[in-house]
Amino acid sequence: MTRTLKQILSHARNSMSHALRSGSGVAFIVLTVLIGLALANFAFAPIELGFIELEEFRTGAAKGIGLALSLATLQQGDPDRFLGRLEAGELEEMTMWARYLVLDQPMLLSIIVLLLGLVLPLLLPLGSFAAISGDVQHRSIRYLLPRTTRTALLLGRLFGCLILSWLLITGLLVAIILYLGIVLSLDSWNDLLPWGIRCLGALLILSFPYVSLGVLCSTIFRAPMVALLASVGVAIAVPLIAFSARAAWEPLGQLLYLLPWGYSHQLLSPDGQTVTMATLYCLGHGLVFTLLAHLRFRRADL
Amino acid sequence: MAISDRPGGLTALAVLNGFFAMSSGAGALQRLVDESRIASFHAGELGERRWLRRRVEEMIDSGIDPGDLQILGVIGLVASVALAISVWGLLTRRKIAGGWGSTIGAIALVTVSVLAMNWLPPSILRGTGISIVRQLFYPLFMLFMVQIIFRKDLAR
Repeated sequence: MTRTLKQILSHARNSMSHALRSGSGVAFIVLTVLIGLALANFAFAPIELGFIELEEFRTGAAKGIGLALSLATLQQGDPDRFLGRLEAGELEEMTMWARYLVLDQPMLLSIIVLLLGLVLPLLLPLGSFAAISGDVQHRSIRYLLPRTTRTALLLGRLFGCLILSWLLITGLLVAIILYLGIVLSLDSWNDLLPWGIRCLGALLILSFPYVSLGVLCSTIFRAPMVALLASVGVAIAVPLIAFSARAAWEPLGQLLYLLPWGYSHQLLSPDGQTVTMATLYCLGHGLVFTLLAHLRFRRADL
Repeated sequence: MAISDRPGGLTALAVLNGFFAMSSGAGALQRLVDESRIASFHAGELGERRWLRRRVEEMIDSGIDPGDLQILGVIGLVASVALAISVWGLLTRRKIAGGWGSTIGAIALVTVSVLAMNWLPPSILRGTGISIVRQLFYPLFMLFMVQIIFRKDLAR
């Protein structure tokens, strides 16, 4: 047991140091940070450059977030009429939720974390798509396997990808919170810090299923680029197919739950029980992907 | 065909350096052109094109110093040339062209960002503070990669 654990940690460490030297790792780090900061810039610019008054921005943001939440929670009825129903007070729960994110908590941080929740599923596979397929393609995995078990190798690589993603997300969010607290100073540190820690927790939990999905695709496909295309393609295709199918028959919208798209926003819910359930779903999704990857990798002809 | 032993990260850095060399060069040329247009405006030699006059008048009204634009343009060009040389250096794993080209390019990029933040009026800069943080990230990351991670790979 201890030997396996040591092997897993050793593979994780090697995976992280290899990621810094590999093209995919460099691209993952640079793209994640640059896109994350660009999203922050997108959220800050209207207020910081004085294009709009703070209260006007707050009202608009509450409407926008309410609409996005209504779409993501698959509310019944015609999506084109959601905005009118929100203004008429019909979707009360969504309005309260949006007001909680915009009025009760630091607004800009909530907006950035919601945007990151949309973009990270497309960026995270960049850090994990070559976890297994890279070695399989170059056949270097044959030199590794006599010295370790397939389970230790898979879990070690997954752990390494996860830690690298967590470090990146933490660094990005810390930079944004510091900027919000020191430069913009719209909210006090007493508001920013607890909400920042909760948002960070939400993003770290959300990253687990998507990193696992990347590793799963990496075990299925031998060519790293195909694994990347598959993992990003699935992350994009699930919501597209779900919303298109929902237009034909409303229950088909539940396809959104094939990935955490259907409940990831609930990690920022005002209700503690909802957050706990969303966390468990995320961990469950990640575990299912890891188990599938394990089954596939154990039987793979390498 | 021989298999290259160059780490993939060096290739990725070379591609990114190429991209930043082009964007830095374009920005630097724009600043030098703006500086020459302001000089032409003061000499009464600027053409009759209305949009051009309006743009130059906006720059003059914002209180921009043509000398500052010239310095920013020159440092931007140095960054662009150093990064362009570093693309070749990183791909061929050369210490001076790859390592020092990247280092000079990174320092020049940081200098341009910091000086632009201090010298240019907000109406010209048109960016939030976080966009400055974004501009500073890549040069600092590149310095870390070239001087620490790939230090031993750039040996020729």
